[in-house]
Amino acid sequence: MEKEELIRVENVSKYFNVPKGKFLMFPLWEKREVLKGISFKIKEGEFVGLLGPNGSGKTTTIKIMAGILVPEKGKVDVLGYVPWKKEEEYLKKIGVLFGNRSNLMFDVPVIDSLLLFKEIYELDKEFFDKRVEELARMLEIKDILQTPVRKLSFGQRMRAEILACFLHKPKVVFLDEPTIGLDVIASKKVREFLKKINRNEKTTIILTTHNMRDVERLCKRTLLIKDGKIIFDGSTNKLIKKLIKYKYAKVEFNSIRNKSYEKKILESYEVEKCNNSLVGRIPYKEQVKFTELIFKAYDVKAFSLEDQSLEELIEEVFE
Amino acid sequence: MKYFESFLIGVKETLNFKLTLALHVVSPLIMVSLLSFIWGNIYDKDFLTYFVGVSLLLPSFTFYSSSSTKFMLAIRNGWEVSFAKPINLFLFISSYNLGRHFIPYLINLTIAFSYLLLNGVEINLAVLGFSLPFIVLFDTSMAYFISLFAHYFYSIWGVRVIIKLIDVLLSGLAFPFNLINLKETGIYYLPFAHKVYYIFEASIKGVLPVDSYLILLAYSLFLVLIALPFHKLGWKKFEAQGG
Amino acid sequence: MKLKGLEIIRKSFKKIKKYVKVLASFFRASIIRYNNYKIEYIYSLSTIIPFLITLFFWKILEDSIEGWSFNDLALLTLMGAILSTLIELGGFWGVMLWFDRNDRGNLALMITKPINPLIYLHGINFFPGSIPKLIFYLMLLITFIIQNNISISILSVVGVVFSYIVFFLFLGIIECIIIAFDKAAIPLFYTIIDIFKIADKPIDLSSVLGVVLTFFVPLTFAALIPSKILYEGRELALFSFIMTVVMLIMFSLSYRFAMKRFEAVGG
Repeated sequence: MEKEELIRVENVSKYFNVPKGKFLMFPLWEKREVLKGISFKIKEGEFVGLLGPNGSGKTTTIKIMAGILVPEKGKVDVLGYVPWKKEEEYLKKIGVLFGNRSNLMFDVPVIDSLLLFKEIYELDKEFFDKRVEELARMLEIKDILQTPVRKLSFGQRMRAEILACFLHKPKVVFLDEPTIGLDVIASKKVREFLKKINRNEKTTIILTTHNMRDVERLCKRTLLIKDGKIIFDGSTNKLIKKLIKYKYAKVEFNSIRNKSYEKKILESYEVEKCNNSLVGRIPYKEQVKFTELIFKAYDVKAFSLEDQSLEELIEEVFE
Repeated sequence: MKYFESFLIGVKETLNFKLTLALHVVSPLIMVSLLSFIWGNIYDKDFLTYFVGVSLLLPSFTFYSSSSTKFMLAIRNGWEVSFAKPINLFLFISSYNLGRHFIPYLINLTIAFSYLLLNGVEINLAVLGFSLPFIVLFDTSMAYFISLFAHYFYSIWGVRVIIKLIDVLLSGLAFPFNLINLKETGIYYLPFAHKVYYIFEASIKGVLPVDSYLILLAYSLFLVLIALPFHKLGWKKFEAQGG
Repeated sequence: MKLKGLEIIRKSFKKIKKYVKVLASFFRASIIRYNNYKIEYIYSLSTIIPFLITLFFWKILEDSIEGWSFNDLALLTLMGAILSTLIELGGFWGVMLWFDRNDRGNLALMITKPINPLIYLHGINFFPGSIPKLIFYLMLLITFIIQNNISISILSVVGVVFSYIVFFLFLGIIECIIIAFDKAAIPLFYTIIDIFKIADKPIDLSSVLGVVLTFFVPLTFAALIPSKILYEGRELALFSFIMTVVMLIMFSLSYRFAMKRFEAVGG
């Protein structure tokens, strides 16, 4: 059965006034188009990554979908609502998290902030208790619920923020850099949680991040935004395949079998030899040929070919 | 020199935020007009000279309350420790704040001076100029003293507000002190009137208010001496709590 | 038609119930928050000092002020003090400091919650430390009313409440201006608070100043009109009600303007 389209963004443009210079003492402004007629659709249960360099318009896109900003042109429909009308029913169905902002009250225990959200989102007690228990277990923060936010480590605080964001079981969640500033372990825990909740509750999640691991591991679909335009919209794997140009090769060998093959390898590919090992990058399309040559040239002890990271690929696109 | 730089940063910042500058200039002007109007209505007498004199000639009207807020934030956020630069953070903030209030003060001073001159009230600029450092010294000590509450209070802005309110009441900015016998009421023995009302009076008479200087100096010293041990104690508390 | 009306009433009650619950929750959180800083309660009580100093000045000046007895002046000061305590309790100071220390992005986050962002802002800035002081002032007011044989009616109490609401809505309009124009407008609030210092001065309502401070910068609603309502009642109480409606309209227009501007540039 075809899944329902929950988000429809059609031809959306947004302008900001930016300072251009000064005339006498007064600043001069110019209108800059930060979103240039973007369109996309997102279906129920999708996990979409919004990628782009700083200032490309990804946070603006999220803010428009969350109802914080109103676009100058275009249509947006999320869950059948126009976001910026801010209907209460709509706001109850979405969750928003900005990695560098806090939803929780700094001086009170986490649970008291959650109790406040219980009233704001009009949750009944039974649901609230069960939900907090379940989410706290998944995020491994059961023991810190009674601790004031100011006493938490950054990683714990961020997980508590995520709990608050998912507390009312939102249908659509907008996450703006949820793993910013987190260490490897904390990011991993956050990723695992997001993956589980997306799978189990069919929550539609839209994520912007600079951390490519988040996208590689979480988002089946990626939207690339550059200068206010969507330059790619499709599956993350497809994106990798489309952009991938090289494979990273690593070879360890016991001895050389054939010197002329070795010469051919060293002359034809960007590889460096160091004692009994070889490292370098080879064109994606020549990986089979390269592999054959390696086994002809050396008595191989270990051999690996790795993909370019998404980060590297994106870097190339945006450069 | 480095504090002069922070003074200049303050000046530049004021020039950048024109609405803030306008409000800094307009706010005392509105106050002066309203107060003179109200007291004029109550007593059927002209109070404009009095309020122009006490409110516009003397900078303490806005200076220390904003300094103390920045000091407080510095303490609350542990900037003093993290501010790993070879300067004194409190002096840095003070000179920066002095810079921020410099332009509005200069404008208000010009307005006040012109008004008073037009009305035949001569101000001895030498007396006024000589008195300003004493006012700034007292204000800085006061700001430093108030800021230490940040170690012990949460709503630090409240402490600032209450002291500012007391200051306004006791320095002659709300009630016209030329109607009140200050020695009899005991207000003379507090520092507030000496940094506003008495200096205004002395500037008109052209006599150096030595008594006021001594009282301001004594109170500044007193405030700093009380504040220093609390400052140390506060830091111990801050460090014990792990910042 | 009748059913639709009932539905609206039911929905309104539901909304009121929600907001009461949310405010109670905010209040509970603020009490927990200030449990860490119990000394705040003592600090708040210390703000009675300016009130006492003002009374002291009125006592000195009472003989020279025509048409106003010390009792009138004291009541005026007391009504102003009650309002400023309510301002403190309602978190207005905290909100200003919040605007000063946070950028627009934090407000953006509040907008995504199913609750009015201004209520949210005040909620997180409630200051329960003012309660002892409020109790002190109210007790003082009751003592004053009993001692001076002032007859209090429901109308006069409601009148005082409306008069205070006019001033709160006025502060609300300033908050909207700050939301619309960002930090640059914060000094406007401090200007108003500076001007607030003249609210407890004996102004003649029929003078030019009285008219300006009633209709343009509604300062007389902070102390003068409430204290007069207690003595004279009826007409001024009705006037406060009409002004509440006017201010409500102005507040709602400013709120819409602020949100519109925020939505254009916000975050």
